[in-house]
Amino acid sequence: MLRLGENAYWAMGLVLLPAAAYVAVPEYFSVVILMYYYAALGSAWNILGGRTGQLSFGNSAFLAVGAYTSTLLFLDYHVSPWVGMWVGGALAAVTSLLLGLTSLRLKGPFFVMSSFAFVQVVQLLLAHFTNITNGNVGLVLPLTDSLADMESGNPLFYGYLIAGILLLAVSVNYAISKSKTGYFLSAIREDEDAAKALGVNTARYKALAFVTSAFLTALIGTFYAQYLLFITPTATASIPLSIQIAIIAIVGGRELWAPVLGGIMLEGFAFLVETLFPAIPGLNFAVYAVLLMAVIILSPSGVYKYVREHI
Amino acid sequence: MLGGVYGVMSVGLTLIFGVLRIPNFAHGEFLMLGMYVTYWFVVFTHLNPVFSIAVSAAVLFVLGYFFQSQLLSRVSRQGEVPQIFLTVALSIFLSNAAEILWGSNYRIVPVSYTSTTFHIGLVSVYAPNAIIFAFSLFLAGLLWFLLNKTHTGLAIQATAQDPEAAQLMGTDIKKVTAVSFALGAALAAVAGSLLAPLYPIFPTVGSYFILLMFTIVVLGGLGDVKGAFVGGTLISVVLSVSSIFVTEDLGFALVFIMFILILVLAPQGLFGKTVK
Repeated sequence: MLRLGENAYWAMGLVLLPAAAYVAVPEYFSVVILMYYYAALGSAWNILGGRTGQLSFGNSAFLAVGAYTSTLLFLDYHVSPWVGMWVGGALAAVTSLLLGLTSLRLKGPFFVMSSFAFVQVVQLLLAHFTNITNGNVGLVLPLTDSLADMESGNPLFYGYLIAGILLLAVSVNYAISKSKTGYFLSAIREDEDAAKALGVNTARYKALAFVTSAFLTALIGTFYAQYLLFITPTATASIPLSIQIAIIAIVGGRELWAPVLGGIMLEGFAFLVETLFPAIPGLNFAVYAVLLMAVIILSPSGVYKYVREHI
Repeated sequence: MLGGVYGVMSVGLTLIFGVLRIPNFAHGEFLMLGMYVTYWFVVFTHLNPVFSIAVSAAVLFVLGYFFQSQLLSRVSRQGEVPQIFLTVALSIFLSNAAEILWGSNYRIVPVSYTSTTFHIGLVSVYAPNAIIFAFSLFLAGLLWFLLNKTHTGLAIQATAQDPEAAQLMGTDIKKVTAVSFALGAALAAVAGSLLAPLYPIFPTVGSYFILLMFTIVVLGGLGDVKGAFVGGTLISVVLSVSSIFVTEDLGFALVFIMFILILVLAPQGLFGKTVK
């Protein structure tokens, strides 16, 4: 099990990095924000995908729920995103509960496919109801630079906002791993039928993991909307994004800090390829895919574990 | 009319699921490669795109065989998760490799008969659709023959039913698995070649079809070859009928909601036998 020392190092590193990057390489500050953004998404995914072993390609749908809820509340009712983000989280939790009650009964590949379809349905609905969501044109948030509206001219604000959400996601993961629920979730991952036979209410615990994961993802959705001030159905409820979230956690692994490592690594890598070969569109993802295959074949339980065991 | 080709593209997916027990997320990209093979074939030879079917089937058969026997088989003992992610990685790789090689512009296969229609009684038929439909029927027959009348076909069916028993009976499981994957990939490529004269071709065209293919195979029952054709026809009817009442995007949303419901309520498909 993890020693407290390691947790403290990670937390300190995550808190110091934005400030250090802001001072040293301000022109690349957005890369740090993206790293944290993906790390947080991976960490939220890990609750259902890693701990419980229910592979979901549906998390970007909850990102969309969070982003659209807080944005629409702000635009139509002048509700601050600070409040809207929790409403979005609650709405995503309810959505995931409704979806989970039906689709979590499915096993393995069937659950994967249903979550895959769910993202597409959310995207199509967001694009269709143009009178509410403005369709594929997207929604633009006004530039107010006011902290009360969760906006700021200073990028450090966004760096620490996403760092806070990331640490929240990791803390929730930590709390679960230390609780009875966490052990039940691992039992479900290893052998669902056996867990059931031993009296674990598997449906209830799987739904709990799904709801928690969706809630955290929706909070990240509000961050996304406030950071870019522009959201569209295809940029939020998107299958490629959903897949990328899962890849982060698969490459990282399912340990506490593994998705964080995965998010930082993959975004750092994507940034490197883009900077080195800006003229070739598609190359970054092609290389990314090859790397992914290599990781899956050589170290199926993730880079984090590999690093811990070999270095 | 497109029901037949929906069937051809999905039957490969169902075949792969039947033997490997994983959904192949790279299936849309196999279809995309089939479309590009046809495009380049027509551009270079100026022949009818129908003749490119053999080429694209052969190319994708080799690619599929290589991918399964060299990569997928390495993680086949570790359950479905690594295998699913390998097909996901392959799908990302292929669509981006296509973008690097051929750019992201839409390409159209130049054929002479795209705008021809002829009439049977009161029904007017669009010529490319008729050719595609006839070919799909022919392929369905060919596939039936392959699976039921040849040794390899029977071995594929046996492996899908019970891999251990098949192995005990002397089936070379490794080879059969690779051949099934290769055959599935080739079928996707054939569907791509058939569709090429009708659809614009671009690197991410596969992602447009993949969810539709999942829906079709689940509707027909995963692993059920006949079901894939019935499901394909059904979905094409649902899509064209719903397009009368609602816009196209909402039609797709309805199909995918139907897909989730079928998964939950009748995972064995509409016609499948109940498993376990």
